[in-house]
Amino acid sequence: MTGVNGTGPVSPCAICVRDFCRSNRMTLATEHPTQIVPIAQLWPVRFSIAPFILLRLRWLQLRRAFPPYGLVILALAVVTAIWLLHLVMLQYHRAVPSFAGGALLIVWGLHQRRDDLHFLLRHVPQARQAIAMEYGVLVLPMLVGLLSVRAWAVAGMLPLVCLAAWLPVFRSGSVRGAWLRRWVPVRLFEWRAFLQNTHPISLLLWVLAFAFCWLPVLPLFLLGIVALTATSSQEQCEPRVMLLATATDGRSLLLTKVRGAVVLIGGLMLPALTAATLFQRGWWWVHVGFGLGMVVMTAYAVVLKYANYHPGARLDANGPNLTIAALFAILPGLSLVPLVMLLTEWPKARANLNAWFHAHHH
Amino acid sequence: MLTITDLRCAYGERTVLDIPTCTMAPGVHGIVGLNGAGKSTLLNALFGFGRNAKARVEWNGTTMGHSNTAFQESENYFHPGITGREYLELFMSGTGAKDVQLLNDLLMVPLDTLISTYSTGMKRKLALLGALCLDREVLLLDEPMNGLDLASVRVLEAVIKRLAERGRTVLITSHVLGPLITVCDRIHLLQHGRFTRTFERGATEGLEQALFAELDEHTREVIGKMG
Repeated sequence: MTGVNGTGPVSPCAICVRDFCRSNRMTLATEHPTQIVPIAQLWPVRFSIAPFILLRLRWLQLRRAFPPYGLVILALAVVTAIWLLHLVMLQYHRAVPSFAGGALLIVWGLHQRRDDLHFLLRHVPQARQAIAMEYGVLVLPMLVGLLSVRAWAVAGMLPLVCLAAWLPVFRSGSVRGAWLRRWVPVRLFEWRAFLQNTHPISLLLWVLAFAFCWLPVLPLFLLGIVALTATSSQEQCEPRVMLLATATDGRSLLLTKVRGAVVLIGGLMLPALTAATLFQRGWWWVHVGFGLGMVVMTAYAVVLKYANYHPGARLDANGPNLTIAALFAILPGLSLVPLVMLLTEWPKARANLNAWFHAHHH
Repeated sequence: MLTITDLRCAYGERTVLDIPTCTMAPGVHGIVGLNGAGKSTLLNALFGFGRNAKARVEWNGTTMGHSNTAFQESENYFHPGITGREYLELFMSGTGAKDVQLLNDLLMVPLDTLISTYSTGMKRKLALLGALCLDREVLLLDEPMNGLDLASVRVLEAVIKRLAERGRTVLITSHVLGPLITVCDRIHLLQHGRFTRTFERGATEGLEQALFAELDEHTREVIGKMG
């Protein structure tokens, strides 16, 4: 694989974007560094599709990851999420600015951590506008939720989230949460990577969940964010030598990883949910259901990773499945759905792992 | 004694490896060949990574498996977000863990920093330390000298010699003949998926000529056709 002089090697992602640009009659910034010629100049109406390039890519990724009925389910899930948001914001009208603030914080965090930022800025024309569009679409459900409860002022502020695309990114090579990492068993290195990616924000969210345990919904919301970020850390596959060093066969590896994930996520959920139950005794069943849902969702993330395991790969396509599992996990009584999804994936994970453990018997 | 019998690897119609039988005594064995000769495929097959490979591989009369083999792959990648020490801790159940800590004083891998900040050579050294941690009877090293500085190559040579003294069997592939000639007891020439010649220590004069004979002839032909 070669690259243009002075630009470093071209990554597979770069090729993907390049092909995409060419198929849409666009010109990459690197192909004509001094002059970017978008399709707009070829059309009678001056209009560039460059700011939409990431949205088109995400759409293609979704279509590749899902069958058509999966897209319908996903759309229904988004509508359900908006409806739930609407109900929650109706009940806790005072907390509406906090919801919007949370969305801003999440997008800012995403921007600070996105791996493709440097690549996009280098190779995609109007990259910041494209990123801004992506962030805008990301907070669209929240915007609809805010408009549905007529929080006009807050809803008017939310589009400011697009400005995150122009914010500087601060990256540090230092080890984060060194004292917390020691509590994580050696074989659960994904959780150490999770700390590296999310510390101290995840810790802050957990502490806030504990601190606001006397409120009815907020602790669950905060714990849910922590659990979701933990599941997303399960999308990265380890190299095969690490797989072999973790266990001797697929079954024991799955048991080690799932058991470890259940203990860790359970350890995160239990104190805050117990404290919340002390203040909201009537909600005990909600807290139990939510806690179980998060545990099942995290275990499902682990199993799904190994069902699709390929050495060193990043399983981005698992994201939509995890989103569906998460939506069902947070609805009381529906955590059975991710449990069924987990049980369905378990045999696939074992078969896939056994293939990697014993690819070739001597 | 490492015994390989009926090792075959094919991708569709193309046979990449075809080794009917081969035995390797404890010691250091170099495997040389041009690109595409099948060096990495051979080591992958011996470790059980070759999905298209079929063979019977025995170590001292029993089937060789992951419990008595360690493998350092030619391409090193690691789980992101972890430190060198966290990576090595996974392999620390092996008996070589203590030696590896001593060895790192020489190799100077910054174990307490994130692997993502390492240079290519540092990553290579870390992968090597992981393989050495396991202290297995058979050690498969695929291009271990790639990206290493000269000092680290010298350290690696000394380590490999020590392993051979302790009765281990080490298989090394490399494009750099110098260190191989220094460290190997035997060098096997791999051409078109077959072992064509073996050179004993101290009798490697014809190695370079044998390695490049075919290439030189072809180069002369091509150059002759050019204007």
